Amino acid sequence: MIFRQLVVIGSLLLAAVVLQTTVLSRLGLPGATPDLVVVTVVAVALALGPGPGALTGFLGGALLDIATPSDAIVGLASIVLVAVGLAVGVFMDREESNIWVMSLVAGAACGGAALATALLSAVLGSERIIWDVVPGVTLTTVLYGLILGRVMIPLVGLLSRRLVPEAYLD
Amino acid sequence: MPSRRIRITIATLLVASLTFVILDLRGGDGPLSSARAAASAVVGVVQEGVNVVVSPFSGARDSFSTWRDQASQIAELEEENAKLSEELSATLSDRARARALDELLRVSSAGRYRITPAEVISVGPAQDFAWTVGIDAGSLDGIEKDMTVINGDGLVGRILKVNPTTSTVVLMVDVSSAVGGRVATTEEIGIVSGTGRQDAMEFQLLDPLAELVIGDALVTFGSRGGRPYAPGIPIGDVVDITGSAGQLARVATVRPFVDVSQLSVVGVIIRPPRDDPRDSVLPPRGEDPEGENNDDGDAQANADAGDEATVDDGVDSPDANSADTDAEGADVANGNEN
Repeated sequence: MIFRQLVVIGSLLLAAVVLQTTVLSRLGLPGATPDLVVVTVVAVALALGPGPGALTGFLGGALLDIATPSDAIVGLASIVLVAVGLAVGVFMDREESNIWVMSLVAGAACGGAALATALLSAVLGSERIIWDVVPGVTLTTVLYGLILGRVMIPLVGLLSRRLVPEAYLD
Repeated sequence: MPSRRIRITIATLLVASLTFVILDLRGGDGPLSSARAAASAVVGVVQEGVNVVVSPFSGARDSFSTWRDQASQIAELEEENAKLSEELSATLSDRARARALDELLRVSSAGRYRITPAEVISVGPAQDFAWTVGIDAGSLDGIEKDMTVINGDGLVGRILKVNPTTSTVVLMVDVSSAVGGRVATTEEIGIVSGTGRQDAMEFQLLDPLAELVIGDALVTFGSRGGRPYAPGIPIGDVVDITGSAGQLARVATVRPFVDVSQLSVVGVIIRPPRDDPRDSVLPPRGEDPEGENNDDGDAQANADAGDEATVDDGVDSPDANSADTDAEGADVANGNEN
C-alpha cells in the first residue's frame, strides 16, 4: 500500500513539476505562475490525509527546488509544502464534499505558500524579493490555485480511490 | 490530532528539509549537486518532450491580456492544445524558430561569436522572484558555467548551473546579475545590474562626470576570457536618468533589448571573438524594430559616424587606455558577480 501510494504521488508530482515549469510558467499570465505543485499537495492531503499530504509536500518541494530552472534555496519549498500538506490533512474533513470549499482551500494554500516562501527566503538572506510586487503575486496565485483546485482535487480524488482503495477502508 | 506515526513522519521530513537548506546555504559542490544532476536528468527529458508539444503556445501571451474569462480561456486552450499543437507546430512554430535562428546567426556573425544554439525548455515560477530559465543544452554540448547566453536581440544572461543535457541560465534582469557595460559610441563604462523587474535594469557609470543621455545604447564590456560576459553584446538602451553629472547617486534605468518573457531560441557563446566587436553588433538605429524615440537626424548621424569610426577608434584614442580599462573592467565585471 505504501509503495502504491508512493508511485501515485511520485507520478502526480513529476507531471505537476513538468507542467508548471514548461507550460504554466510560460503562458505569460499576469502576476504569479499558477502553482500546480501546491494544488497537487492540497489534493493529495484531501484525498489521503495528513501523512501522505506532508510526504507529497516534501517530495514536491524538493523536486521543484532541485529541478533545472530553479535557483531557490533548496529545502525551503519542502518546509513550506510539508506544512501545507499537514495543515490541509489535519484541518480539512476528508468527507468534505463541497468542491468549491476545497478549491478555496487550494487557493488559500497557494497564497500562503507564496507569502511564506517570500518571508523565509528574505529571512535567509535572499535579495530577490520585491515587496511591492508580493501582494499582486499572492492575490493572483490564490485565483489560479482556486481554478487549478477545481480541476485537480476531483481528479486526484478519483485517481486515489481507483489506485489506492486501501486508504479508504478505515 | 495526528497520530504518533504521522508526527514522526513530519518531524523527519522537516529535519530533512532543513538539512537541504543548510547544505545549500553552505555552498560549494555538496551532495546536492549530484541530486540536482539526477533530478534534472529525469525532469529535463520530460520537459524537452513537453516543450515540443507546447512551444507554439509560449508565444500566445497576447491573448491573455484580459482578466475576464481566464478560467474558461485556460480550459478552452487546454482542450484545443492537443488538436492545434499538431497543426501549429508544423508551420507557425517552425517559421518563428527559423526567424529566431536567423536573428541569432546575424548577431553571432556580426560579433564573430562561436555559439551553440539551444532552446528554452522551462521557466522558473514568478513567485520565486528569480529570473532563471532552463535550456536543452548541457555539458555534453560543451556548455560550461559562466558562459554568455544571447539571442537575436542581444544579451540574455549567463550559465548558472550545468547538467549533462540541460543547463540553468540566470537572466541579466535577475537581482544577482551584474554586467560590465559600455556606452556605445563613447568609451564610458559602468555596471548594469538587474532589479528583478523584466523591463528595467540599473546602470551606474564608474565616472560620475561622464556624459550620458536618454537613448544611449549599452553593450557588454567583456570580462577576461569572455566569461562571464563576452564583449560587444547589446544590452539595452537608457530610458531614464536620475541625478545629474557629478552626483554620486547617478543611476540610469536601462530597458533591455531582449524581452525576457518571450525567450525561445538562444545561443550560448562557446568562444568569444578574438577582438572586441565594439559597437558592430548593435542594430542600426534607424531600423530598430522596437521603434526608439530618437529618430532625429542627429542621432542617426552619430550612429553612422560611430560605425565608420570604429576602425580608427580602435587604433588611436581608446587603444591607449584600453589596456588599462580592459583589466579594470574585467575585474569590475567579475567582482560584482555575486
